[in-house]
Amino acid sequence: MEYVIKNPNIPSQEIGEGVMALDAQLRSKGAEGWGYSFGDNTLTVSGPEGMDLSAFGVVADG
Amino acid sequence: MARSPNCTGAPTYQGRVDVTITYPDPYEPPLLDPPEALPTAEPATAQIEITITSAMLPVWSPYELEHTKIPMVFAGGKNPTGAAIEVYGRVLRNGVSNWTGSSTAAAGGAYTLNYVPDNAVQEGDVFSVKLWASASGVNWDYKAATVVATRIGPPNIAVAEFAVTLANKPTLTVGEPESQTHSWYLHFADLREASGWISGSYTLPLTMLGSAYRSGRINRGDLTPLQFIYARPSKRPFYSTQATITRLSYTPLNLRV
Repeated sequence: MEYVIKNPNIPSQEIGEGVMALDAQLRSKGAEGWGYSFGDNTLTVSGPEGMDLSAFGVVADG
Repeated sequence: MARSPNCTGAPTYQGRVDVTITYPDPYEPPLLDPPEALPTAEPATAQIEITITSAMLPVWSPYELEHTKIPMVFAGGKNPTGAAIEVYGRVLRNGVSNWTGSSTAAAGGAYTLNYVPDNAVQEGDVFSVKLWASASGVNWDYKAATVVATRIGPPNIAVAEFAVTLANKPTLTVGEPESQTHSWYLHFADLREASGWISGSYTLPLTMLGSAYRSGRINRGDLTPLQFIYARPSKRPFYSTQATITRLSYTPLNLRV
């Protein structure tokens, strides 16, 4: 299942440590994969149904 | 007596437009041999750098129609270790970060980064891909790129006998390719009954090329961005191939719309 969060509350993705920190946070929620787009400031998360991603913002789809 | 605003005095239709679009083979060099190990922290310099050249662009005949170009960039490798390992990626466009992401490469598995953004590309743009992993043992050996055309034709014209032929692009051949197929999306803003997914070929007796989407949109990249690292049991590249217009014909009408 795919979850989309606009303007997410996440570590800065400008450096690799931020990428790995976000990955750890999302994995702890059960995410299987994810992507962050700088242009539209959007986080897309792939994972099982029922994931609680509210800590990262408002889930637009999911 | 006032004239109808739709009465321009011009012929009701113009000469038929009929163009073909040929796609060159994707930029797809041989696999790195041996593969290159991924670092366990983000590298300062990207492992992969691909410049969009004229040789990657669609070729039009007998003339080019207005359109938008969407890039498709791929990178992949394998995890030959006995443990699952996280793979991280960053894609930069002309030196500016565009995307970050991660997926888990299973023990003995493979991964492919697909980067198909929803913004136009032009000749000379440079895409850089950085890859790293949470533990040593993962490698990369595959890269590819191509460009596809979307939103073809002039905006805001009524047309008769609109006909398109589509073919799935790209076809990747290096490595052990696996693909998923996406259809083209017709999106005539003022004729909603014509909107929908198509592949193969399609005709409409009378329609309109809308202001934004004109001939319609390629699915991944234009309708929806595709930016993800796919993990697969053993093969790479795993990629999206899309119904793409290879021939477009219509008769423009002199109607005010």
